[in-house]
Amino acid sequence: MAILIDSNLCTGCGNCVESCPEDVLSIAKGKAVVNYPRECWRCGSCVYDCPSGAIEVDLDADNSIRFVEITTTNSNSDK
Amino acid sequence: MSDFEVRKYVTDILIVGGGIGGLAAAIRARENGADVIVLEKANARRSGLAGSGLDHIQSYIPEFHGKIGYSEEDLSADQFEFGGNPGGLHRKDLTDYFAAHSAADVIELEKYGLKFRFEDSDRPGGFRIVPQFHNVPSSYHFEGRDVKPALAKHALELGVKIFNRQHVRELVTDGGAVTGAVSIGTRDYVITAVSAKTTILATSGVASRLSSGVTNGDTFETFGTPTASAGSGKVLAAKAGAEVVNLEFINLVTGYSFQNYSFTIGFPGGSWWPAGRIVDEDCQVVVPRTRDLPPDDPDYKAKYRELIRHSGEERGKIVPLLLQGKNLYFDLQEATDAEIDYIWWALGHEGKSGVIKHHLASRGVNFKTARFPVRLAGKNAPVLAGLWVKDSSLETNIQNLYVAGNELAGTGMPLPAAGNALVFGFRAGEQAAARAKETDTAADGSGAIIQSLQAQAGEILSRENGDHWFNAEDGLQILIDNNLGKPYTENALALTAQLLQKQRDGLKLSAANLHELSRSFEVLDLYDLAELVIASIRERKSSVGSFVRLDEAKYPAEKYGDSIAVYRKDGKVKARRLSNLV
Ligand SMILES: Cc1cc2nc3c(=O)[nH]c(=O)nc-3n(C[C@H](O)[C@H](O)[C@H](O)COP(=O)(O)OP(=O)(O)OC[C@H]3O[C@@H](n4cnc5c(N)ncnc54)[C@H](O)[C@@H]3O)c2cc1C
Ligand code: SF4
Ligand code: SF4
Repeated sequence: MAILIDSNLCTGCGNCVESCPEDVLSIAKGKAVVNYPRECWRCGSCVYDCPSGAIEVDLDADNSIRFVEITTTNSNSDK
Repeated sequence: MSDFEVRKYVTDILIVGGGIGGLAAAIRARENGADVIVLEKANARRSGLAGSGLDHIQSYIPEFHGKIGYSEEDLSADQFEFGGNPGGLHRKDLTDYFAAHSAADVIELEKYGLKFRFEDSDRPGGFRIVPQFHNVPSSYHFEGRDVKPALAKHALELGVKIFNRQHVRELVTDGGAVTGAVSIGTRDYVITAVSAKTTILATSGVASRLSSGVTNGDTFETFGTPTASAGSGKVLAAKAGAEVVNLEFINLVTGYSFQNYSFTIGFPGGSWWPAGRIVDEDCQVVVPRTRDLPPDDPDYKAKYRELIRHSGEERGKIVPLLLQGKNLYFDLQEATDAEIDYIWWALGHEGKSGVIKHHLASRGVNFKTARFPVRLAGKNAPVLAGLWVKDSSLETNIQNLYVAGNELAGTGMPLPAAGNALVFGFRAGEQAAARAKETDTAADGSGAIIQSLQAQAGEILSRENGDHWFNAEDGLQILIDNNLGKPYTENALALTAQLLQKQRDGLKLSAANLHELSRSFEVLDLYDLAELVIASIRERKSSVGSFVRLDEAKYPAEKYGDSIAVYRKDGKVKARRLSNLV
């Protein structure tokens, strides 16, 4: 899943829930939770607006950006 | 369970959509003394395509353009030309308006606390002006990550009322004029009916959810934020009788991407381009990097045009090579350290690129030594369609209905972007406020609409085991992907129209909660939009630019520069031709 919320850091302030344009998040039992993971647009707004640094949004494996390290001209170590 | 509380409001100006254009309209209307209500489906603080930021914006830039001898007329002419004319996609009166007003409008963002000037800049004004994928030298980088929070804060401070998580479903009309709108909550059981002297539509330009880029596999990937990419404003407008143009230019061409993202054109991260190049497997350069000219080059203007023309031509090689099965890579081997620092900075401001930046940084990417495989990217839906206006007053053909932002047809550079959204937001706010001063509040005519909305919501919420919106959207995208965006014939189009109708008639949507209800309404809008798209395609009977009719010989030759307008009358879709040559 692309969104990780660290419940130890989350204070349940609800900022991320307010911001999310896709209405993916809500608060349950005082912590932010992800209701619709496949509707996350990965905009990063929740990360920007979380005062506790509790959220990480990344690209999931399917969408991961591949790159190849050029060490010699022919190296092909795909990441 | 589905008992909605109905709240009614009366105001001078109602704005549908609190994105860049909608908030600019709200600010200017309020500054002109109007009472303003914004109905926003998400939260205006982070909603719309610019929700998580902009790293560049376009305008005429007097300090810089004056120095290189690039006039407002040059800017307007370039915009007009690059906009796909003579296909009729751009309007000279609107590009003229943009050229004349954009400098003041864009730099106004500085007043809201956004940083535009940099000590390390060698450009006049201290701006960061870098030629990238934009085709006129009028794009400056700025720190725009928080452009939406800044605009929303300013609007609220001025006294604009913003109702968030309200999804507008229908415009209220009375005797051929628009008198307000009705919305439904995406989180609360609240229906809002607003009566307004003037109404401004500002729900964004793209409708990318018509094609498969969106629900590709288990992701929700599309160019625009999905919530703002269901073409809702066009559907609302057409239903009220307003003319929507350019829908036939549904662009389902395949593009390329070096970010493994399904973006084709205008994908975020354009700031990589000037320093980046495309190489083949043996590190042979296929598309070279570009280099900017010093601002005091006496021949800047001509050289710049040539640079842009040439780099466009070079990049045109990429898709054909990929289609031949060649392995291509994007790299930054020829970039300087300063350029790479610059790219990291810009990535942190443009929407979505912040996540890309984090993703790459967390895996320790070194731009000096990384090569990114370039691959064919997914399909893309219409971005140039929008509402027709009489003139730069931005009033549509329906009285008291105005348009702001990228919802407006006939402007863009060449794509609709934030500069246009802002300029044509401020303008709509100013014009709608002037009209409101001479207009009386109409009687509340929302009763029947509220009733039918309640009934429709109740039906979808109470249906058991119906169609989930996600599958309904998938079904539509398959139909569109398979049938549109390629050379057309009337026979095939008639069949597609029938299939669409059948699929739509068979839909039995069900939703477990208000969130899913809102998504279901988006899907219904997409089906309505598809009907408008097909009607537009059928009306344009000869090839123009990327639009190809195989059976055009059967029809009389037509004049270039005409636009096809579609709208509804008594529920039925109508199409007509408009002369675009102003
Ligand atoms: C990732 C990304 C990066 C970009 N970067 C740049 C950049 O750096 N520079 C640039 O110039 N342009 C950029 N763009 C384009 C730019 O963001 C858009 O041109 C601009 O946001 C359009 O403004 P708008 O007001 O027309 O629409 P939006 O800003 O998209 O706003 C539309 C609003 O309407 C709301 N809405 C939609 N339907 C309804 C409804 N039925 N009821 C109520 N509300 C509704 C939406 O929630 C949204 O808030 C970028 C776009 C994307 C996707
Ligand atoms: S990244 Fe954007 S869409 Fe995804 S949860 Fe965060 S705010 Fe919502
Ligand atoms: S913004 Fe951060 S702290 Fe607040 S609810 Fe969301 S995750 Fe928790």
